[in-house]
Amino acid sequence: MINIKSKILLTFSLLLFYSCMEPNIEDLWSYEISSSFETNGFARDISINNDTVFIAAGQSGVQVWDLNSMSLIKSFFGYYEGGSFLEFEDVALIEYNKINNLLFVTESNKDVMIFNYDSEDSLRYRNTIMSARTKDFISFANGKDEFVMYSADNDDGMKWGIYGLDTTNLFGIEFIEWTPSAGGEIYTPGKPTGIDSDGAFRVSMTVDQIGVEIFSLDSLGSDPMLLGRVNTAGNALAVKLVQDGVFVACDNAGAVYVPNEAFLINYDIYPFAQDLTVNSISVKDDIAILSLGSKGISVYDISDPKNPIDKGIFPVGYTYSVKFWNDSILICTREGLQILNLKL
Amino acid sequence: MIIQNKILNLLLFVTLLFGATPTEYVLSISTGYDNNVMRFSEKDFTEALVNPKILGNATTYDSYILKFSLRGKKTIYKNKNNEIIFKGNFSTSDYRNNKNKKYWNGGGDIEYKWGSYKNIRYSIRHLNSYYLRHYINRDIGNSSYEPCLFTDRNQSFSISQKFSKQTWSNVSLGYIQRYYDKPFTEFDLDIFYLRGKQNFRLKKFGIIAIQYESGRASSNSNESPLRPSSFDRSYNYSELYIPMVKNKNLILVDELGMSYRLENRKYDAEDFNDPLHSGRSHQDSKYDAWMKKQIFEDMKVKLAFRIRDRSTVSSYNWVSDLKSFNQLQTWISIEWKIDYDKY
Repeated sequence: MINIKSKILLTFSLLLFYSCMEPNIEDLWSYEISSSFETNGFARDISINNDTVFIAAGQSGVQVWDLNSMSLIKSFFGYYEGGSFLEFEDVALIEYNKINNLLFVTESNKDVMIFNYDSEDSLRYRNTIMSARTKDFISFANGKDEFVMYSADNDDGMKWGIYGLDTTNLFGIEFIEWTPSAGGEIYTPGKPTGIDSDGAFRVSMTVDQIGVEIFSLDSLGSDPMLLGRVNTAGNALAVKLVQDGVFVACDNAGAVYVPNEAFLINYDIYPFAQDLTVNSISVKDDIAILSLGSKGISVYDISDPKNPIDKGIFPVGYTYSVKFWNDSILICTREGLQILNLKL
Repeated sequence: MIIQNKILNLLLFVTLLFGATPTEYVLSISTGYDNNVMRFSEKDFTEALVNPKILGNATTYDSYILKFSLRGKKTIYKNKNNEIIFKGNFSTSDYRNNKNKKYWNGGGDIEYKWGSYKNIRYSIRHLNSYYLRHYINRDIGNSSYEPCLFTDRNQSFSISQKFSKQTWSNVSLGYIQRYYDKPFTEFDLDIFYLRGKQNFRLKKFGIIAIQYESGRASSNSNESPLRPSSFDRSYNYSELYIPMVKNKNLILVDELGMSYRLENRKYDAEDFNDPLHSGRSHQDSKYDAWMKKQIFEDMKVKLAFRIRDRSTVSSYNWVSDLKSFNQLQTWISIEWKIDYDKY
């Protein structure tokens, strides 16, 4: 005698025995582009002041955007010097100094221009510092009416200076300039390409084929002292200082983490992303973001900086550089500025 | 491995099913040859000369294949014309010259039958970690080659109805989960398909059928939040299949068969950043021929050939060159049928 109920039960049990399968999950991070800013020209570099971003917009000059409302506050295609309007050719680097309301702007392979930018939203040219072929610079306010700047001068080495406000009145015309009170030039073999500093104790500079150098400071504005130099693979293009070392973008050799010890003794360095072409690098907490040019960005978990873990390449457009803003990431691309949120 | 054990246990379990009917097993051993295991295009063959990494660990493009399979069938309920039939199958394939390509597949069917060619069936098939070839893992780099494998879980419901002594039809609705192993999970697809087949029995000849299948493969890797390599790999496809079996008036052999299968696939992608899929389509033709010979009462030999030709159309010539290939496979199998009577 056949027990039909048992058979049917068995049949359905067998059907349940199998079920849909679950997809495999990769240990990668994902992302969302929360907003984009159409800058017309390439967004090459940015400087952030609270919720305002200053954009080096290539041939579109300098743009100021509000990050929260995503609105363009002001756009400057050029500036007035000696009564003449001069159009920006190709703005590549930008940095805002809040205390002195200054905007430092560098066009490709040129020196650093100083502008006054205040709440009136006007851009007033002051003067030019450093020299031609400035590839990168970083500055720190040293109180009101004074700042210190370090630059990677592709011709000579590292230039640095303490600049103060110099106001003179000639024939009833007020001339405002920022003039150096101290500084110098530290020769280095090779071609400097990038620079970073903590504004207190260390300055690090990348020197193309030669590698990366680190300088010590007694304090901001003191003479930088060369501590050491580490040869890296490829062309060292940009550097980011962290507590225990530096991360270096090495062009077509990827990137490398160089611990502080490596500058003093023969110590291991830790290359990663070796099959990528890395233009610049940005670091915050345990995250490193590499700018890959046409490939977009590559994200790494650097909780152990000696063993960075790749978390994915995100094709966000031709990327020049990246900066962190609160919990978001601002990406400078040829398509404009993009705000990206990582999903860890 | 867990699923593999489940299927084997299931086949064993069939033996223990009651029903006062015998359990039919077919054990098969096959050896074969594949002249293009990794489905290389002409462009790939050229590249392999200078970049052996694309071969993975293999040293040859072709391989000998060894395959074992076991099928089981048992009627677990029978009352006049009404039957409930359980079928299970399991097989392992080992590409002897390519260590990456070693996989198993298996599955089962539950069929309720109320007459000849009148049935309704639930089927499940599992293809486990099927190796395609080594690809660059572009999630994280530009040069790191990783083996690309996928697993298929295919479930379908089908109904068969006889319309006359010579004709009957099948209609199937199916769902395939095609999930890739790490690190290529961005290629995961959920495929829904509808299949219709019309069969004709020809006097003094055998059977001819025509089958048409249409399906939609959905990729969600381009949906937010975006993961690396977030492109839309969705596509629509249609497939025409015409098998022809002659099993009457034959000398020397008991069955001769041939079939033609043509798949047309068209990708959705129109992303400038994804030239590999953007605007791509292909025609995949498979020509099969086989013959069977009963050498003993419970043993038969099968000889089979397949020629495959895939022609890819893309607005990028390099994609067309990269994704078009030819393949030849030959098989010889020995099947041993065993009836197990417990009652």
